Amino acid sequence: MKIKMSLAELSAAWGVLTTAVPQRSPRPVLSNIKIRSAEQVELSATDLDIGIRYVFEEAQIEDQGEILVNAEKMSRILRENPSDSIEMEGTENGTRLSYGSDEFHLPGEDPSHFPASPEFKGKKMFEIDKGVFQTLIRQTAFSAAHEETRYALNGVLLELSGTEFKAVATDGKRLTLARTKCKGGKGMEFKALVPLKGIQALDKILSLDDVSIELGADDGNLYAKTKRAEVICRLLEGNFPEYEEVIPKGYENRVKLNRQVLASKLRLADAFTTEETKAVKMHFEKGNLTITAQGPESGEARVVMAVEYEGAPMDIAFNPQYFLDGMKVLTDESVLLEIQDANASAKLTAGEAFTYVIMPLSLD
Amino acid sequence: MQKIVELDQSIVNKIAAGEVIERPASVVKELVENAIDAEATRIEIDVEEGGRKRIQVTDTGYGMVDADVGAAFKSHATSKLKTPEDLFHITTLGFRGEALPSIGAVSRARITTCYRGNEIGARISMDGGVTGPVESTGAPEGTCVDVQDLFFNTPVRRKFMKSPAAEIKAIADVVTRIALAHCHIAFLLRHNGRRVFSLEAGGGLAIRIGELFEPEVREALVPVDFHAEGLSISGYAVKPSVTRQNTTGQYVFLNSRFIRDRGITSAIRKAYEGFLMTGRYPMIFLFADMDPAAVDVNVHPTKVEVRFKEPGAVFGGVVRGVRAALESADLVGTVALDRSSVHREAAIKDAVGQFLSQAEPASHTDRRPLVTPSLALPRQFADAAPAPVDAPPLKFMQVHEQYIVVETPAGIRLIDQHALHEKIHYTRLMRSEGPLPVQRLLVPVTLELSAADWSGVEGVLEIFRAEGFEIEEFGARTLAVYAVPQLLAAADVAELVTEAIGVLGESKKANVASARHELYAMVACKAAIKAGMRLSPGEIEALLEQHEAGDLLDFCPHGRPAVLDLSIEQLDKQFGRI
Ligand SMILES: Nc1ncnc2c1ncn2[C@@H]1O[C@H](COP(=O)(O)OP(=O)(O)O)[C@@H](O)[C@H]1O
Repeated sequence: MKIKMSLAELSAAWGVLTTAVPQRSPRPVLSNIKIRSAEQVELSATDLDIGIRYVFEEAQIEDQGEILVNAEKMSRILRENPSDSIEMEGTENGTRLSYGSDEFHLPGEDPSHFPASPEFKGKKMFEIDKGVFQTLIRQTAFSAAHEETRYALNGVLLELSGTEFKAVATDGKRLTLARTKCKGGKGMEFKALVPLKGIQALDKILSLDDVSIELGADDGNLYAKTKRAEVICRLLEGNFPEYEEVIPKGYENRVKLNRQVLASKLRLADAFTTEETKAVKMHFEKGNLTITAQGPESGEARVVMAVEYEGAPMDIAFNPQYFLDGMKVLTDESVLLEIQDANASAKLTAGEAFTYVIMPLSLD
Repeated sequence: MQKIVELDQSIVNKIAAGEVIERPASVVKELVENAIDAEATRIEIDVEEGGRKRIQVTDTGYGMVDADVGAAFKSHATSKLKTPEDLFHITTLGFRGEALPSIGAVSRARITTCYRGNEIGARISMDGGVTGPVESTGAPEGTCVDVQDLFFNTPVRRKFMKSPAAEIKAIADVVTRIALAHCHIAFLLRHNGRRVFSLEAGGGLAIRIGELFEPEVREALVPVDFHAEGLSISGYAVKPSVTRQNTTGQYVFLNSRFIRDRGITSAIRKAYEGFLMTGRYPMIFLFADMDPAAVDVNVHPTKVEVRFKEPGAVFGGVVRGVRAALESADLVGTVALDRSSVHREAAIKDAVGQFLSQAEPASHTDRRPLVTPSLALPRQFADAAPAPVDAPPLKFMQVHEQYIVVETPAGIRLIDQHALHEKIHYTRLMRSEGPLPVQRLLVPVTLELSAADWSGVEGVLEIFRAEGFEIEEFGARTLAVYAVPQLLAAADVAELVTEAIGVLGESKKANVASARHELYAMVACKAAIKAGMRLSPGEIEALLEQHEAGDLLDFCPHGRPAVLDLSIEQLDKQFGRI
């Protein structure tokens, strides 16, 4: 096999493909990325949980065949950005890489030992706008769990029902739901609990220029396809909570808050919390929200913002980070906060599209 | 027919003298083993007040004839050994002929029995070592041994009995072990009239494990099947997705007898090598069967230790059998670490390279996104985050993805990354002063406990509540957690609580302070950087800074140091410079 590839495109693709290269694996062959040239040049990587295939745009094929290239070695070469293009050639005992006056030999590993990428043909898929999809996963992924051994929380639930597409994530203390209208996939059932790693891979792939993404799922896997890339990702097993039941229908005490002002006030109060007591107290009363924080060593903060609050005076405590996380993924000017009492969940919404349920802290 | 003979003195001498009855659980063990030897198909165990007040074991075995009843409380009366040779061919569980008399010596015991096929049964009692007459009585087929007021005449022993919750837990542990090896027998264990567990007969090992352990264990079983000349190893290995923090989850049986053997424990560890995080231990249910002549079971009177004639063959069999099972199982996604030497070498080379350059952090695979990253990703994706650009001022390097070597004014410092980080966390947690915030949960976390853990749960819940947990019993063997201390909120609630209950149940004096230590130690360990984790220079720096800043509590959960200093003098001496 012999091909010549654009280094700029290779860099971009490599950055995506390495998401699927395992850090450590009992199967050393997986530390490579497979490059196959036929009518097109195709790159693939997998850690057996997630597989990514990328079809190259700017390649000259001189000879067909397959080679394996060590992911890390190539990353090191690409980091130096040494040239416009690079030549790769399968040799008797491995792979030769070269450009200009530099040349590298990688010892041979049998490309046939590399797992074959699964077929996408015949999978039922639907299309969704790239930007919309990316927003949805970014608005939810942050609230997924990371440590749980109940694996079902370590990911984002993607669901299509009717013309509505939803992303949901929770770590048991808060839950985010982002939704959008989706015209593709009418009458199609789609529900996939995608691990964070898969979500991260999708996010990266979408950062390579594409306008839309196609999604599909069967019992065990998510299939995603863009113009140049295909991702297959093993789904999480286990039961995701009945999220509809967790989201309060709406409380009487509602208050509209300027997102940026709230974030700024919370950051101020947060500076006065400690790692042990990551808590701020919110006191709502007619016209005002007072946020206080205090720690034995960290001192005390008391910040006030004017709000249009009409209900009875109310105290409720939260981990400020939970709020700040939410403010960060939004662009809306204002958010609506609904609360019930000191022990019930709070509901924060930005229009119809974004809902964030946060559980409070008890302080005594 | 007289079945019991008094042991020949020569056999008596061969038997290691030793205490049999240490605590209520030992009584239960001896009585249940007798019932099994009598071919019982169903054994009911009733315990009151942790066994202090009463232990009653009723079986459906063949019972005893009158003459046997009279001899049962005599020392070294056993129907199971006749000649010294028999001692080397032990297949029944009891063989020492001293359990019943030892029990009768320290309690008020009564045996009621009816020999299979007989109309009329017999009864005998022993009260603090004084045997009564054999009396005829109506009784169902089988035997019932009733032991009351254990240790009433040995006040010191009585004083050293633990709380009822701790004793019933130990009893449940004993019955669990026996029940695992005897799936053809039905068991019922009750404490103060309340059912601890009820096990059906004849469903096979997997079903029995399912009855005794939490659902995660049930779902992670992989069959083990290994055969060699004169040796067979079977049972189930548990996938590394479920682990324990010690070896108590390892059930090893030799010819159906529960044993503890260091060699086998390390063979198991070896078989799981590369599948587990440091500090975690696998669970396993392993049955080794071999010619009884190839083992000496009488090494220790409590009979859990053994000596193999050919240990190498047994350990090799365990490693191969378990490894084969794990390799055949679908473990993708659960494999925690692969510490193959090849990879280690590469890692060391990397680390050295990085140490020498210091300017540019190398990573194993360059995961720095070439396109703008935007998802805020957690610690597990730390590799994806752009590495800090500014070069660290200190000279340090990470080696073997486990230790950090730092240059200090006086010499060098070696740091165990996990141990140090754990210590920092633990100190912070223990220094925090209440009242601390409690994080409410969106949906209550429910957790199902093993039968043994459930049996002792009452005493433990109060302790959790005192720490700020909102926790309730929620049906059979299930707890529901509604809120957790914020400090612990990042941990997996179900895992944390399950593990803490296990540990607290074991400990002698479970109180709020010890529970606090356990919980925080656990959380500190979980939150700490693991051995085998690649750290970026920024992360190492942060760790060193925290170390500098904190005057840390003396805490070594594993009894080993976190930091070692080597002075220039020491180094010079080693190199023969001075
Ligand atoms: N549950 C039982 N059913 C029938 N026989 C029993 C039972 N328990 C004890 N025995 C008889 O009493 C004898 C003495 O029991 P024990 O003192 O426990 O010694 P060992 O069990 O070590 O022989 C046993 O050998 C057995 O014949």
